[in-house]
Amino acid sequence: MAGEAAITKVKNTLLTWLTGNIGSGVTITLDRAFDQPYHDEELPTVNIRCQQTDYDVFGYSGWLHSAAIMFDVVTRSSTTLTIDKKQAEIAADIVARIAARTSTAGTIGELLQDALPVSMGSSGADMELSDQGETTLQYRMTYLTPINDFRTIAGQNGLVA
Amino acid sequence: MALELETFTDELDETSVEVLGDPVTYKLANLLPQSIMAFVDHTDKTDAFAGVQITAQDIVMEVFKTAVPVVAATDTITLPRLGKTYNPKDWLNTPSGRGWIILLKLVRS
Repeated sequence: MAGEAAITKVKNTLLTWLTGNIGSGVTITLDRAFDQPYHDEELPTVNIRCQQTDYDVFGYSGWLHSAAIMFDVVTRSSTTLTIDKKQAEIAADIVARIAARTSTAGTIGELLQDALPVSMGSSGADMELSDQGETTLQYRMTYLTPINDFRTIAGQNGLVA
Repeated sequence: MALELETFTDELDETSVEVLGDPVTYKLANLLPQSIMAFVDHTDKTDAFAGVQITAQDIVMEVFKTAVPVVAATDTITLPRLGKTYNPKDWLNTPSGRGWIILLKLVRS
């Protein structure tokens, strides 16, 4: 983790925090390549990605990063434009797991100032696939870095380089 | 009298599916399974969602009405090349009206 960009630290630690703790048989991936589609046998799965990060000045010595973290919840689903039961269950597991974070060193709780669910919406696609669907759960996660240093996180226990 | 191809269409349909088609097992509700020949597109399909893509089966088959007069969602179709069983999720008349284009959905255990 040392030397990695701050957002990479957050994403990698988030992956570790969620893996094995989101329902039975749910696989977790990080930044799944778009040209490497999921296959039916892999479902249900959650793909973590950061779509955007916004910055605000925090005092005189830091930046407050607000990262839009997306959880693409992919399940077997025959519905569209709705959040189906399985997707809702997985999303609830994600929310519960993130809420259970502590400031223990090396965990996501050490890195973050806050983590708030923002929205959840189905990815409609076009219903051409017979039995697969996706809902995206969006979070806003905030963390601090020193001015002009987007690698070091000012965490709950001090600096994480 | 001019030869009209329409006269032979049913016979041509039957011959082409017997020669070029794929064997499937089609079970109409309340009837025994029957082995018939149909045109089956076994191709998987990839669809894009937010952030990710998914590849899955999206089977389409064409069968003549002489073999399957009426389609119902409760019918079951077994495709031996995939070793899986499906139900119709939608069905449409072919352009000639002599057959059905059937979109299949996998039966999960």
